[in-house]
Amino acid sequence: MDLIDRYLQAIQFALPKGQPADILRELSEDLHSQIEEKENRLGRKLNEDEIATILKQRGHPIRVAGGYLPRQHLIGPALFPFYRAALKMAALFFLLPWVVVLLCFLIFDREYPAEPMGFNLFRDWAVFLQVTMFGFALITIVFAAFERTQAKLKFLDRWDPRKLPAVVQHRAPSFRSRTLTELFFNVSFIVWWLTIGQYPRTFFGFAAGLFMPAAALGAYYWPILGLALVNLMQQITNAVRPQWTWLRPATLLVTNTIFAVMLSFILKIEPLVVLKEPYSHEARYAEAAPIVNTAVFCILAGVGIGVVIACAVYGYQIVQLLLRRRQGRSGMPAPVQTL
Amino acid sequence: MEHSTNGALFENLRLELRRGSLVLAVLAGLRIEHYGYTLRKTLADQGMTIEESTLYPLLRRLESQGLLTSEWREQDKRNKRFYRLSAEGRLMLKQLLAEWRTINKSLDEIV
Repeated sequence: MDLIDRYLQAIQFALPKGQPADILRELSEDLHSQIEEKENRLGRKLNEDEIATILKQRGHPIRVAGGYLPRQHLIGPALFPFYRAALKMAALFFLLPWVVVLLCFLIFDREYPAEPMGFNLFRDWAVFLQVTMFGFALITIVFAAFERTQAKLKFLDRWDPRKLPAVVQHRAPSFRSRTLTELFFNVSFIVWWLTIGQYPRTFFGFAAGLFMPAAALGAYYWPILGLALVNLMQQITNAVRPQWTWLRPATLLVTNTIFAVMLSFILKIEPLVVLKEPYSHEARYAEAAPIVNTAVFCILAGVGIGVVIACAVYGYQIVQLLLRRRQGRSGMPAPVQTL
Repeated sequence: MEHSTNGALFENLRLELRRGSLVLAVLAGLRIEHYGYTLRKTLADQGMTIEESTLYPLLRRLESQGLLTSEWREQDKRNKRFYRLSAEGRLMLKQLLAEWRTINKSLDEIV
């Protein structure tokens, strides 16, 4: 009977304090009745394995004790969708910018990762995690308080259908028309990129006669063209097969990630643009060069931030698609969720 | 894969369907005094199996709602807790049975 005592002790440990003491007495009695009946049927004592089987059938002690817990939730089904939306908004408008800023430091600030033992990185990510936990905890507390208040005041019962907001018509562009638009802009970019050598004015404007890209940038010309061509392939494929909705975010996630890595190397090139001969020897132009370089650096850094955000968005879209596909396969209705 | 998902869905819906019926079955079963083990056996013999981890918390809840009364008594040299319907429980059972019959009738007509 040692097993039964251990089982009951484990249940007692998991029972909430203040529960009547006779719960265990009753469970013990029920177990002994079951064992006794089985022993009478078999005409012998049950061995340890057989008792273990009976206990296993009854369930884990935590589950058994859980049956005696009061049915309660922190945030009920009525408020849960709003709670989840608030968490998503906090993640999108607060945490995502944090991550972007930290990534920018990591990629663009040359001294940031060079600190000994990655101290900067450790410190800032620790602060980030702390802020995240605090933010989510605060939202949870606010909603839990609201749940308690609304349960008492019942203001969800006091409503007027005539005061509901008017229906908003969303007319999102179709996937195919968006693909064709992207195709047009991508082809334009490829044409521009292929002809930039002949027509540097399309990038430098009137300063094209004075400046030219640094020689080190030449190494990135063909890889960037390659990424644009990969995107072009995706756009052509999606124009023909619009039902392959996963292809766009998957391709753009890959190409944008590669582009972000390239940009992190490009931004380390100094200078990004140089003066053409014979202007490199003229003092007044030499003074203008750092200003132009700073401007180009800022533009590329801005592009880098945009690309990192785009990666996050495409990653999110892929996760959404996977979740939708999984729900579609299971064919299960959305569960009522509570916290 | 699809078969097992369908099985899980059926199990979820079956449990939901059974949840309310269990209360009715337990209340009806306790028109005669029982202790937990014999109540469980009686219900199982009549096709209504109920796990111990469901039955005992349910008995506690129904008792705290005033629908059952209980007392510890010795039987076969062991102390057992006997349950039976309270007066309030009897009235509740009557109302619930009427409701259940109405639902059954409606369902028969719908199905």
